[in-house]
Amino acid sequence: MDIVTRLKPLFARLLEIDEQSIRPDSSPANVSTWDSLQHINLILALEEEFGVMVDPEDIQRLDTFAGLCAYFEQRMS
Amino acid sequence: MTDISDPATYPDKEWVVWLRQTAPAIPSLVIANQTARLLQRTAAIPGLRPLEIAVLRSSTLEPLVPYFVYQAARAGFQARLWLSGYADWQTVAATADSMLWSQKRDLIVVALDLVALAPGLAHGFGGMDTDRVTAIVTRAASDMETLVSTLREQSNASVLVQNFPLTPYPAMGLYDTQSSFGQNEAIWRLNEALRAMTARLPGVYLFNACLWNARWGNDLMTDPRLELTSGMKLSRAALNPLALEYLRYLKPLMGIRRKCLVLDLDGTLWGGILGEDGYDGIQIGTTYPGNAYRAFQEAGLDLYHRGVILAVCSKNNEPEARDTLERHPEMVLRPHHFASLHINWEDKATHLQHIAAELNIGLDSLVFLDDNPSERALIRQMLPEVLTLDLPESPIEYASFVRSIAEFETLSLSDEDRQRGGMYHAQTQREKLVRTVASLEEYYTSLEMCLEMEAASAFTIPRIAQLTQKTNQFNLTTHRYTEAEIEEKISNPAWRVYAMRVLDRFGDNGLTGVALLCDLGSARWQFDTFLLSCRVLGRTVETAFLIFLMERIQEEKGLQVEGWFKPTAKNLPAQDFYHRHGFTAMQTTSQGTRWQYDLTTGLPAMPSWFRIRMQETSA
Repeated sequence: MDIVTRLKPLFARLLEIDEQSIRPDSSPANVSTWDSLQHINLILALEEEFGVMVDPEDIQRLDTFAGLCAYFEQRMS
Repeated sequence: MTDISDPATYPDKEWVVWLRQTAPAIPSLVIANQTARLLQRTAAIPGLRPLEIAVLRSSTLEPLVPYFVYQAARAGFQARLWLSGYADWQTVAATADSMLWSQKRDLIVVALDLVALAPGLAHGFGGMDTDRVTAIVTRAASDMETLVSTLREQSNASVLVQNFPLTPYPAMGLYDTQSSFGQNEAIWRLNEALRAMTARLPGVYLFNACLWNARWGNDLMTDPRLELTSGMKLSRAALNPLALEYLRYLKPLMGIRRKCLVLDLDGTLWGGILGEDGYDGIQIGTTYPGNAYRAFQEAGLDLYHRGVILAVCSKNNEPEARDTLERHPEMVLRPHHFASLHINWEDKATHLQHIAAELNIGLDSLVFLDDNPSERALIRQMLPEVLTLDLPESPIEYASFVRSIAEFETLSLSDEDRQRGGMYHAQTQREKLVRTVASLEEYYTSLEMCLEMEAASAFTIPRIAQLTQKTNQFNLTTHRYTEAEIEEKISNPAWRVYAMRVLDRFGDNGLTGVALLCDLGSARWQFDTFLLSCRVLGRTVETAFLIFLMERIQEEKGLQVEGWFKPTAKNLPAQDFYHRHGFTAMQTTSQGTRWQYDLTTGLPAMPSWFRIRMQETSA
């Protein structure tokens, strides 16, 4: 399963949005439910899903859907 | 089964069933969040007790909340949480029209970080003298008391005050512990002041975060990455255990308490099977695995002293089991610790009803522990009021498991509590009880039992021989055979060797039944051996096995079948086996009784709840 397909349902469920509405540039700026607390949840859920730890520098930096996909794609390869 | 990956399929009405049957014990972060959100948004859910909780805190706890709401729901609560701001815990308490007081609270949790209440104890400790440290501790304890008193003046809510974990890296390093008033001693003194305060103030209890942290470990339960980037001190690994720890306090606070722990014997109180391994062969003592069972018994003894009533519910021969409890040198729990000992071959649902009636307590006061999942399923199905817990697979975990049962927790202890076990033991009176085990058949059906008749092979012969060697309780003749003797019988045209495997929805119970049949000539057949491991007893397997074999004899043109019951010290459970299945006693000698069945009169009814599969002999 590719990374986008794996991430989308997780995003949709945590942020309470439609999978169809998720775009590469989805971010706290255009998704109202994506606040700083949900950001922690997203990072933790992704860590749980992929079994990796996100570096502290990246926790705040990774704030778009495409950015997170690319990050985990690279960490998993 | 509800697909919990899809929020659309969450139950609208059947929340309680979903929570009891489907909700995972350890939820993923997504499931915890999604479920908690729905629980908090849904108006009063039938079957769940509403609970309004306010939390005064000083750092990010939001990711913990869904886990708490989730686990509270599994425990029967619909919890709604309100969290204070990071820095306004004092003002919201003191302000009558603050959000804290905007509605009635059942519980107020004070979960402050050390740095918020006593910054001097958390940072910059190294440069301080003793007087200054004493002043900080006194001030922090007094601030907390002011806060808690305010909370109690404003409402009737119980207050749960969290104490403080010791610091793993004190300012003075190892010297901290050597010196007279180090950083950790200061934290300890503050904790002691909080304990004294909670003991003094009614309705105020201590949440021992220090103990919790010691159990799980600071390195595992905190995440400096999250603390420094997001203000959350807790690690992801901490979320579920911490939620569960809060629930251990919540249950006694909300009056959820059970009185009586009912224990199985074989495989639970000791390792092995008394009827097969014998008094000397069961595992209990100072070496592994006996020491694991001993630790479990010690935990049981602690519960006894805490006021929990102990009882035994076991399928065993009573004289042997009692004797073992009384005389076995390694036993920690003795007969006088048990208010009720139910040891016989009846089904366990009946046992538990007797225990409740005898102790004059409700079934909803019982907690049932049994290593056998099918016994647990029986009780869950027939007596849902009883709390049936899944004992861990390994006995190593038994002791910590029983010590963690929240339903036995109490936040205050009276002298009567300490003596309760003994009182019940003394007052036990037997009362007659109408046996209403109506739906046993439903239970058997729900087990989805399958009997697989196996051909004797190189793989099964050792087990067949072993069963004839080891099986004592359900063994009609107790004829012991070696592997060579079994092989000989297989190749003898006058003999038939049957081995049976029992499967159910919990898995494969293995090869657990053996029958040896011998053609006596003139269409007469005899059971030389008929035995079942007690692992599968009490589930009508013996009836199905017998009828299956009688059908085979009919196929072989047999007209009559007979069998001996040869009594031993241990095979009492098999005593009335032939009688129960319509056999007629023909002859009694010093060896036993010979029973006979006329196959031309038809066969007893095959229980409808079995599927039977044949594995053909390849020979």
